[in-house]
Order: sequence, then C-alpha cells, then structure tokens
Amino acid sequence: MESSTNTEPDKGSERKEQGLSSAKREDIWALIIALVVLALAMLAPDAIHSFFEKGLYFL
Amino acid sequence: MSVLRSLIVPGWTKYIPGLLLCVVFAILTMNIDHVLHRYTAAHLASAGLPVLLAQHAELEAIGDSDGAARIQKKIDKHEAALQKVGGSVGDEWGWAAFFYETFQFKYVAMLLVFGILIRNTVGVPKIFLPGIGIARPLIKPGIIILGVHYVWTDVLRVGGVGLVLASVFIFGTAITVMWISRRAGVSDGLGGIMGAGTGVCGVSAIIATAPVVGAKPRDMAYAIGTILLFGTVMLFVMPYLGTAIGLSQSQFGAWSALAILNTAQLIAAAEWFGEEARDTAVLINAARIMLIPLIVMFAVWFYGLKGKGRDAGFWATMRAKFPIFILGFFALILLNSLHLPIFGGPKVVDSPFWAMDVVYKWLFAIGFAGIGLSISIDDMRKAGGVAFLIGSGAAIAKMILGLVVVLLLGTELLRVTGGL
Repeated sequence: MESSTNTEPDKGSERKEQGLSSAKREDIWALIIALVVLALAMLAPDAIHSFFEKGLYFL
Repeated sequence: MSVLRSLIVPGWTKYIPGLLLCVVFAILTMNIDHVLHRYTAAHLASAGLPVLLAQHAELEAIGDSDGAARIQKKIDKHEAALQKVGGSVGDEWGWAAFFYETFQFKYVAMLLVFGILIRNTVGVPKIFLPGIGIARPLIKPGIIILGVHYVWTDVLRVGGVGLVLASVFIFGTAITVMWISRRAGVSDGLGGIMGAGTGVCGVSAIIATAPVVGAKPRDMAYAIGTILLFGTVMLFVMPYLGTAIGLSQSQFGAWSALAILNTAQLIAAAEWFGEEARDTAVLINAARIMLIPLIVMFAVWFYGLKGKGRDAGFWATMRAKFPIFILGFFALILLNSLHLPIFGGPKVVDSPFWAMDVVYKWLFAIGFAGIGLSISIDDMRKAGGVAFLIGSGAAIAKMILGLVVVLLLGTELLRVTGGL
C-alpha cells in the first residue's frame, strides 16, 4: 500500500484540533450571551431593566 | 471559521424543547417567588409600621430631624409594600412569611424541589432531556454578568483569600483522596477523577481529568453520581445549617464555595442564603475553577503518566482546560472598577450596568431549572461502593474543615463591598 502523502496526516490532526470541547463551546456561548446582554443594555438600558424587573412578572 | 462552525452543534434543534421548558418553569417559579416576597414584605410592614410611626413621632418631638428622616424612609417603604397588596396595618399574611422567611422557600429552593419532584415522579419526556442539559450552563453568562457587582479591591481581598483557601483545600483533598484510593485498591482511573472531582470542581474536573488518567465511562458515572449526590444533599442542608450556626452572609458564601463541588449547586446554595453570600461564593469559586488545569497536571504527575503518549505539557493543558468564561467575569469587574460614565454602575439608574444587574437572576433561574429537572434518583444510585465511601469521606471532611476556616476568618475578609 502506498504511504499517504504528507498532507493527509496533517489534515487528520487539523480536523481533531478544530473541534471544540463541550466545555469550551459552553464558555464561548456564555461570553457571546453576556456580550449581547451588554450591547442591549447599552442601547436601551431602561427597556432592558423594565422588561426583566417588571415585564416578566404577570402574577 | 472552523471554530465558529464548532459553536453550532449538529442537530441543535433537539435542544429547543427542553430549553423552552426550563424557561417556562423558571418564569413561573420566579412569579411565585415574586408573590411570596410581596406578601411577606406586606406582612412585615403591617407589623412594623405602628412601631416606626411611634419612633418617628418621638424623634420629631425631640427635634432629631436626621433620625426622623431615616425613619421616614423606612415608613415610606413599608407603606409602599402594603399598597402593593392593597392591604393596611393589622392585616396578616403569615402563610407567605412562613414559606418565604421561616422556611426560606425562595425561587432557588422551588426550582430544585419542584424540578426533582417532577423528574422523579411524573418524569420528563425524552424530547426535553437534551435541552435541560444545556440549560444548566446558562449559569455561566449569569456569572459573567455578575461581574458588575464587584470592584478590584474585592477581587484582591476576597479573591486573594479565596485563592489561598481554594489551593489548600483543592490540593489537600485531591492528594488525600488519590492516596486513599490507591491504598483502597481503587483503579488509577477512578481514584484520579475522584481526587480531581472532590478537590476542585466536581463534574468539570472529572471530565477534564478523565482522559488524562484513562478513566472508564463506568468510573466517570460512579464519580459524577457521587459528586452530584453530595452536592444535592449539601445544597439543601447547608443553608439551614448556616442559619442554625449563625454564619454571616459572606461566611456562608465562602463555606459553600469550599464545600460544594459543583459550580451550579454552590451558587444555588449561596443564592438561597442571600445575595451577599452569593457574591462571596462566586469570587471564591472563580479562584477555584481557575485551578482546574493545575489539578489535571497534578493528576498526571501523581499517576506517573508523563511520556505515555499523551501531550500533557503545561501550556497545552492550560489552553485546553482553562475556563475562559471567567475572563469575561473579570473583564466586567475591571470595567466596573474604572467607573466609566459609558457603563455607569449597578446603582447608577438608567446606566447599562444598572440594566444588566437585573438580568443575571433570570439566567440563574433557567440554569437552576435545568439542575432540578436533571437530578434523577437513578443517577445518584450509580454512586456505589468504594467511590461512595471515598466521596462521602471527602465531602464531609471538606464541609467540616471549610466551616472551621470560615469561622476563624470572620466576615470582613470575605465580604464583597462592590466599591461601597
């Protein structure tokens, strides 16, 4: 059997390194969610405050 | 681009039903909590208002206008509380005060108790299980946003103390558990992950250490089951114990961060006790989980795994195992410490940080809903035999030692001031 070219094993190890672990994925999503909340709070602080402090309470 | 692609898990739509269930459960529970809180405040106001009015009259009579002004603020607050429920002085809502104040049955307890009851009685259909699993990590963005509560002096004081305590407890527990495991003839795989799990941060540390020490899936199930079982027991027991012993808020926060091994569970216990307790617990936990890469390295050294074909180099381990979400937490602390007008602060009305300060609780609520609905008695039964004995010994030892330490340290060193 012919040995694989130099690029084949590299591609294989590249694929392994590209996948994120679930913990890392959670961490990145946590940072994204926090950034989205910060952006919304900067755009409309009063609306955000009002929604989470009053809007979600219906009882 | 590949990192971005990795963020989206294939088949992600399977998480939607469970996540929506946790959101609905959280909203319903927060509303019940809101009602109990409102009627408890009115109950206390009804009893307290006559006393305050008498004090106000006395202070005015002697000409103490500052004292009278302070009492007037409390009177205004009590009158507002009564107005919210349409009540008046003399009315009673003892049922609300019993649940909310006496029994401490707040949103955290409700989500956990009802969640466990639902999961283990009527059951949760399989379609919801994946989403329930990803609701729990929503506590992480909650922790990041909580960064607006702190300033750097808190990090240096409480975090510094926390780092020292965490290091002593982590390595002390891990060394002891790994050594006892070896003496008890437990496999290196199970001993290694029990050491990491009982030393550092429960499930995260187990998952981080398992591949390094070659733990089998059955070992992981035993270890995770033991950690979750004790985390659940301590989560319910410690707040009542803390009240009975008379711990201050910050002492309890430190105790929960040292004794409870799972981030979500310790934050639930601390939040249950009080907001100040939670603030201290989050900082000390942040110090603890930053040590996960180091405990993985320690496990490699203890079990002599160097050169076994695994690249367990220091920086590779740090890159792989460091909980990067904590960087967001510290970034917000830094921004809050700078007192920049563009961000304001949690007490600066109409500012971004003031708005963010009311969001974290909802993320916690959804996360706690996920915890409650995911605690299955079957999972806890997996903690059998030697793993259970080792885990229980370590958990009880940490609880007692942690209590002794926080009693000796006192309150001030552990208190988060938020710059006030």
